[in-house]
Amino acid sequence: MTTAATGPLVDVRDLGIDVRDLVIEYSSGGYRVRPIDGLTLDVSRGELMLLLGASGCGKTTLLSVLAAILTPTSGSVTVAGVEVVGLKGSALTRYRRHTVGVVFQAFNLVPSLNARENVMVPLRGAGVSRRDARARAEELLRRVDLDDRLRHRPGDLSGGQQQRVAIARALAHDPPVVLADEPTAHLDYIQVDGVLRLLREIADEGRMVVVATHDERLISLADRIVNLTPPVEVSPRGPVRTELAPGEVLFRQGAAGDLVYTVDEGKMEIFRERDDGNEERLTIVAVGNYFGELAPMFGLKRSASARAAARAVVTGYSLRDFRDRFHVADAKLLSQAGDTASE
Amino acid sequence: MTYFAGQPAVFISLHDAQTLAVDGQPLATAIVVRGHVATPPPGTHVQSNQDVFTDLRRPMKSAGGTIDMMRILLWIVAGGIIGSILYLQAIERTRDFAVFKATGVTGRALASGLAAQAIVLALLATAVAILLSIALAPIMPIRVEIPASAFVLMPVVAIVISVFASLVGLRRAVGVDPALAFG
Repeated sequence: MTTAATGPLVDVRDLGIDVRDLVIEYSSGGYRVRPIDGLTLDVSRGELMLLLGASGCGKTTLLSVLAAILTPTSGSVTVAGVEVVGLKGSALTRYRRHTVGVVFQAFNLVPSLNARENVMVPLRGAGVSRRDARARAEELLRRVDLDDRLRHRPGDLSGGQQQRVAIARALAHDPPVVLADEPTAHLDYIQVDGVLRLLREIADEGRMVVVATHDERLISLADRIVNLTPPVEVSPRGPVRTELAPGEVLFRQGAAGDLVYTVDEGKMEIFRERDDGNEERLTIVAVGNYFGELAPMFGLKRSASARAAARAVVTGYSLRDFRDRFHVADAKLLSQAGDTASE
Repeated sequence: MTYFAGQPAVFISLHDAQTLAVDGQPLATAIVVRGHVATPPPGTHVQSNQDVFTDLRRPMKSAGGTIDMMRILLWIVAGGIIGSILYLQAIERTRDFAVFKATGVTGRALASGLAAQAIVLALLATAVAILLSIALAPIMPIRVEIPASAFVLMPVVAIVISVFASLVGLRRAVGVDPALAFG
């Protein structure tokens, strides 16, 4: 697989993944959501990169962009020498066929087809003859130790075996990049072993493997780890006192947040910014109440904005400091979140 | 001799016929003659063999019209069934189609595969229909004639109707967002 532009021939397998200033924003339930904001990363040949992070932090969204299934709001994504953003028509089809292979979270095998036929699907879809597709599928299923399960349908296979069929399908066109979304999510610890070993092996063969996961067992397997969830502030630090003029914004929806705020003077307005440009007021927080606790508790981005409804003075505390000073347990914080100052 | 699509005919004497049909009065509805009638008797008119043939088919006209209407209705039902099967399949297999598209199967290939399914379904149904018609025609109470052209025309009509009927399902399958594969 080579590309001949103007210079000498370059094996595209030597070209990595290069993501620059990636921003992904979409509308969800009427609100504008920006799970990825200015991400830059690169992956080299033979590397297995882990995308870690809480649910909703953008792991699967990033995989969708790398798979050329989702178009980002801005930024550039180059995979194995191909600029992914803006791919259309036959170039897009070629990219999906030959540059990336995807292993989906729930296996996503076709239940009415047997293991061999499932692996044949992308090959037949690309116009490969039945005979050649069958030979290639059998070769790949041998590669993932399932040569004795060729004629078994997904329902007759264990979760680990189904995932190995899914990996074989992802390798159908021998792509330089393999993307795996939560590949161990439905597997027990015995089944996980074979899948992890396989992912490591396909990276060691010179591919770039990007795995989105919650599963920390994969950490020891990775060459590189990218945590898409901002780290939760756990060390206590001194309170931050802030004076706000009427209408002045303290924090915005989508921003990282590590402080819980109490209202010392005035009133704070908590509101959401809708995707149509309008605002939706959630609550008014008065003196003696607190707000902004969910983001530092769970490492989430702020799900609402906060601004002074009138002249206001607030004090921001790290989560630990807040707990220590006010003797509030997490459960208590959560139970009061809906009543007082939920973000 | 039969007429009315094979209904059997009974030959009896003129006297018996008059007794049974017109209370024994000296009446007749038709007189069959051999040769040429130069001057028909008063109160009668001459009909050629072809006129009689056409006249005898008259009672079958409405039955034929009913069968034609049934035929059109059955084609519509057949099209509806094939269209429904394809549409339901497009709904049920949304995730599969999303995976296919995410792995580089083009919308055109997807549509071709589904259209081929509809055509195969229609041709299989046509084959069954032809076999049934051949098997059942002789045991029908009236004579059924199936022209040879029907055996050629039927698969063609079936293909056209099945492809048209499956268009909605095809459109839905082709329009599936591959991002659903990640869902």
